[in-house]
Amino acid sequence: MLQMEPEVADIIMHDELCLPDGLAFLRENLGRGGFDRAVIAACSNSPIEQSFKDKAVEVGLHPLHVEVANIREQCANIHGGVGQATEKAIRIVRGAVARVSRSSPSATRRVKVAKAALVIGGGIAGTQCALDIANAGFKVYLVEKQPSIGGTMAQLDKTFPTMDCSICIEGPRLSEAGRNRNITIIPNARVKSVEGRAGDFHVQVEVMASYVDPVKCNGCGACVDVCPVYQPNKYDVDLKPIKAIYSPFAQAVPLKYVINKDICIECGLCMKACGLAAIDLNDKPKSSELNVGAIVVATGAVPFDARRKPQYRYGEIDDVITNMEFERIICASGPTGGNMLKRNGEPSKRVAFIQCVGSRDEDGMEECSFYCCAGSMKEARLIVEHDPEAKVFIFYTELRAFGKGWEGLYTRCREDGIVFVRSRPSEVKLNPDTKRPVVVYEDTLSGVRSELEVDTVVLAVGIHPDEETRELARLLRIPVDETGFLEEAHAKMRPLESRVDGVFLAGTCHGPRDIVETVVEGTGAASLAINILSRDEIELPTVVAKVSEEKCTGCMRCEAACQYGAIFSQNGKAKVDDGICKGCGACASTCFQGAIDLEAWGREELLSQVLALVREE
Amino acid sequence: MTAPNIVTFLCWCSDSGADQAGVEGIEYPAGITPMRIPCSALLGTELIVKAFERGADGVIVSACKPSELRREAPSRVTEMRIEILRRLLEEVGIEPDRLQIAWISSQEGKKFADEVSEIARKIESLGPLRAKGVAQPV
Repeated sequence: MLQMEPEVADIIMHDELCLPDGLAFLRENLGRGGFDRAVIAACSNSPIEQSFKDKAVEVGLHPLHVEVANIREQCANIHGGVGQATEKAIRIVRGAVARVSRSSPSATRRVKVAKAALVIGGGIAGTQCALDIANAGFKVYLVEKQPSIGGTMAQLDKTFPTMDCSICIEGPRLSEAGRNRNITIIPNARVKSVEGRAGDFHVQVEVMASYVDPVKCNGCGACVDVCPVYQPNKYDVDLKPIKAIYSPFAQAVPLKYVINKDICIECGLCMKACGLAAIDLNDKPKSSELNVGAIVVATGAVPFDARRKPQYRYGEIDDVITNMEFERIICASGPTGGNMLKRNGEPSKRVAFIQCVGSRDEDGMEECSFYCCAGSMKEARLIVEHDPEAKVFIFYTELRAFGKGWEGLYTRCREDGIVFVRSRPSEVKLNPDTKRPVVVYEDTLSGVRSELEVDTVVLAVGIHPDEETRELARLLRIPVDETGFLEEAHAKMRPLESRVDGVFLAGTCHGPRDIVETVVEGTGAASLAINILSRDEIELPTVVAKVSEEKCTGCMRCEAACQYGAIFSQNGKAKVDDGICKGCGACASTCFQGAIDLEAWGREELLSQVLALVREE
Repeated sequence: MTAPNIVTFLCWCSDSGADQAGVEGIEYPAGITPMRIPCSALLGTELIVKAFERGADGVIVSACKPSELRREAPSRVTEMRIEILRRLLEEVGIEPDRLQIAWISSQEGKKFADEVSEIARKIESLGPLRAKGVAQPV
């Protein structure tokens, strides 16, 4: 009956097309000419369809010109009566013939791969990622907004659960990145625009004026000695002063000074002191364009603003501090030389930690911030390590010690005499007589309400995405979740990929993580980037939406229908970013003008298949 | 009376679900005529109306259930569109039950067979669409 179809040139039979003999038979027959499309009536599409298509491509056919009609699993296997199964099989094959004979997909397109990667953010995720890509032999641009790479990890005193000195283990990685010939660190810089697709992105980077020529500056520090202006150092959470010409910390990479022009009085003393004439007070921002094959976003996150929890009186009571301030205070290079002091300079002997400030909380972030239980346990141990007579209390919601070695950390805290109180304190108030903070709480294990006066309260704040990450997401056309963290292509199966092909995610830019997981993700994202960079060309996806500019009226209903954000307006017409388009066709079916079609699944193709399926003989 | 012809659109995932029914050999009516498409969101009003017009007694859209947690779910577009279309069909005198969504993931062979059988039974009870003088055979 199928021979009656006008489109059918020939029917060739074989019993076992999927076996090696069958595939050879298929290749031979597909290549013998006399037709330019093929329908293979066989079994389940998924596993063998690709082998059939590979054979077709080998003999010069377009892969979308080969269609597998499934007449086994979806027909022969389930319908007992030979008559009705045969009749249905004919309809299925007829439908496939109708569609494939009308389909005229564009030729497959290839993109030449730019053999370099852009890593945005030089925290430990970005640094690890850059090193892994560079060590695989590819060029990496590591763009960092601060004067030095290092990120949050560089600010920590120790790391849990091993109690390693944080900068002592991160510092060598930073200098390794600084020395690596394949890595170009671009500090004081921001990404301004991104165009192109996986394999061939064009990225504009703006480099802020640093007023010090990084080529001439050798990091001697003569300028710092003479500078008369002081400012709070962000690296020390504003707890320690630094000069107007500065490098944020001793292990900074690159070790090049920068000037904060907002406070510089332009006295010119640094210029006189600099023997290398590296300082130029008229320095201007510069822009550079990078051509890269892959992008890794590793922009990190920022601490929750503790002022948003007014009941804890952060900013009002001197000795209510955040966990990041604590890290600087307990660090030997910090503002107090590592001594646990109160704001008035007296030693702090009683310290209370309040967990889940701005996390597991509807007003802050619903999610658990992941690192704070272990973080506070580490910090508690640091206090008793420095001063065995100190008394430490941890007010916790649930104590989560799920990482490798974290349970041991908890056990050691118990041995150290650290007191765990299951409570989410209702407020912190000030004892007007002693000027000490008082934690007001209910112990939820005993039901007893009580108050505890201490010298210092440490708020274990969670982390949040910052506005800049949101802006970067907009530039890259990747979505953010409700909190503002970047969203993965698939939460489970593609956890390091964004929905834009060739753009990968590492570290806390897509949710709270500890250092271990952040480093793992840096390496993971690197391997995904290397997957692209190691190829000379990549094939673009063919089944994507195509807009007819002639028919498009620019109403942009398609933009609203697209669940992936792949459509945007350009010169009054809809435009599809085929690096994002997943080929679902929601836009095509929404367009009133018939101006969008899915390649190989256009209106005409679909309709002819449907009509063939319902046609009565 | 001939068995109703029910065009059954299968999104990529549902297609595997239907395959699973075949692998397990779970029988369902032969009037279920499958057509694989990349995603259920591709189905426009025109295509479904044309299917009815040209002789389908029913249309099933077998799709992935939109995830509760993920924003990117093209089948949400499908769900809305089919709901509107069912009301439209009613306006023009076609029983809305002739158009149905089945949420089938790639493992759900038994669920696929059960749901399409149930829908087919319902459509069969409504009788052939052409007898109602609505559809125009080619």
